[in-house]
Amino acid sequence: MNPMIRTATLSAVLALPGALSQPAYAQIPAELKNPKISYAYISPENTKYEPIMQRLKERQLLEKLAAFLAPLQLPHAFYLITRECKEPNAFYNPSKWRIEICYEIIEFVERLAPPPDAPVDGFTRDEVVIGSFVGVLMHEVGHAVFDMFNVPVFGREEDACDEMAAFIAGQFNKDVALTVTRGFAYLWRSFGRLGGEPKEWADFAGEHGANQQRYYNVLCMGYGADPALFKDFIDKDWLPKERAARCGAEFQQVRQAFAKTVLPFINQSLIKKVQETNWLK
Amino acid sequence: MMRSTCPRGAAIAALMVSLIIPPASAQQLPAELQNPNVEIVYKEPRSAAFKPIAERVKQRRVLEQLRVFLAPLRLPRKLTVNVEECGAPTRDYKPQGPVTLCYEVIDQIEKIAATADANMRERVLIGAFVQAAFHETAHAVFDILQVPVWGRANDAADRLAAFIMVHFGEDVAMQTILGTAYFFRLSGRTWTGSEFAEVNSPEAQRFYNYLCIALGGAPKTFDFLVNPKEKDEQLLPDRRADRCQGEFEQVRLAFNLRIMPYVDPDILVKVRAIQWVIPLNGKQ
Repeated sequence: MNPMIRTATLSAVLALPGALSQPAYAQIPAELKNPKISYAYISPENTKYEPIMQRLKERQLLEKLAAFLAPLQLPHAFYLITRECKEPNAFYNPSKWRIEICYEIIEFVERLAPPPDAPVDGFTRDEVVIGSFVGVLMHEVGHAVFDMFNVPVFGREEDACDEMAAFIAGQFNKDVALTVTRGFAYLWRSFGRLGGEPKEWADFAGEHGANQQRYYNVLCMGYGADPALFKDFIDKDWLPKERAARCGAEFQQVRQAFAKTVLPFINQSLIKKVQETNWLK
Repeated sequence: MMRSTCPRGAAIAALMVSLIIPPASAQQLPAELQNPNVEIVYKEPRSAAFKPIAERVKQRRVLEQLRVFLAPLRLPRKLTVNVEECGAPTRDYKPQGPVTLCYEVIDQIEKIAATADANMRERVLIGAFVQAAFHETAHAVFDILQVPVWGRANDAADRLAAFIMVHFGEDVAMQTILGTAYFFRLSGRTWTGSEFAEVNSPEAQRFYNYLCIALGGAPKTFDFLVNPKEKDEQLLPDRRADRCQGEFEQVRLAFNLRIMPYVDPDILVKVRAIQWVIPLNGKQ
């Protein structure tokens, strides 16, 4: 992930005044436990991040993430932490088998999402804040899964992680698919507009695709998974028809890659429980 | 539209030979280095403009050489490679379908190579052609071997192509990787708007992807990409270069897990022992 982008999403979610701040959080099913997964909220040095950490604790962010990932039959320990990073970021650290979510992202957050009660192009604030957050988190889960299970990745890993995020979004009900796909796509659209198009040759040197490419990739994965659900991507001319025609095959490519390289590491009875849980509540 | 002149056509034919020709002659391709599951077809072009190219490609037995190169691969079914006129520079590989190398792409490579500095021209011709052949073949290998592909398929095919390019010695690696990279650089295309929706990645991205796999796989050979001689350009920025060993290892892991089980190691040694690329003068 592009660090700036990562931070934005995560912080957006955590700061969400709407759905996530309601007391009726999703109940974590008791059976979704995995002894290899540990988590910790690390106290920040800078006291200004204390309230953020408290909010995360109250909302049981890491407890939920640990439960969500419980079906993974891990070869070793896996850690989830929130911490102060001195930079707005969130990432997977392969040397420590650890997903790290930085407190600094919170401040960055809410600039991206549309204002409350003022959707942009049909994107609501909740949809963007929740969807982009989950998308970013699942992107990092992608890095973790690829690393811990030694998954063969022939293409560019950053694109593969976006595919993972969009694929996971489609494994629940339609609301989840809509929210995460649309929120994640909005994120890339926003960054594409904020940063402008890459022009110089060196602008393409990074390991990440251009924000504009990532936007279309996410739209394509959603449309490929469920053309009826995401018909408006075509109706609104967001996704060019030439690309749309290939999205079914692109989704199948990811589905097969997931089935061959990741699914064998997933506990099937636990994953059913994960799929039945309303994580976005 | 300008069509390639005869000398240029001859040049590329010679270079395609040099790309993959054993030192003796294409007529003497080792009998044991054939792949019975690779079928090759030279299709006659409809356009007269492509006929000279088609003739030379056939005479030089380019596809026969590609088949030798693919000899170590134990394929569970037939793989067909066609050279034909497509109406476009490339024709997408379809599942179960043939690999298609288009006369148009050879034409395009010639035209772009013609804009290169004289000392880079042959390298661009060789590299770009090998890239096109390897990239298209990679799609077929993914399909036939049912290889799971994470990431965009075209980038995956590029990474596999680059990975192969650095496994046949320094000369092959330098010619093919640098030729490919300069071919992309010379394309002159800029991207905007919905072009970013294309399934192909921008030429600049592909440029860096090939160089990165090369640096990761052959760090001594490609050290100049990050530590150029005085006055030369640093072709690969440090920030990306730092990741290239990891990118290469990632492709190697994927290759070892998913493709190597289909490779005959004894035949592979023989294929690697061939002097695939002759010096850059295009002579046999």
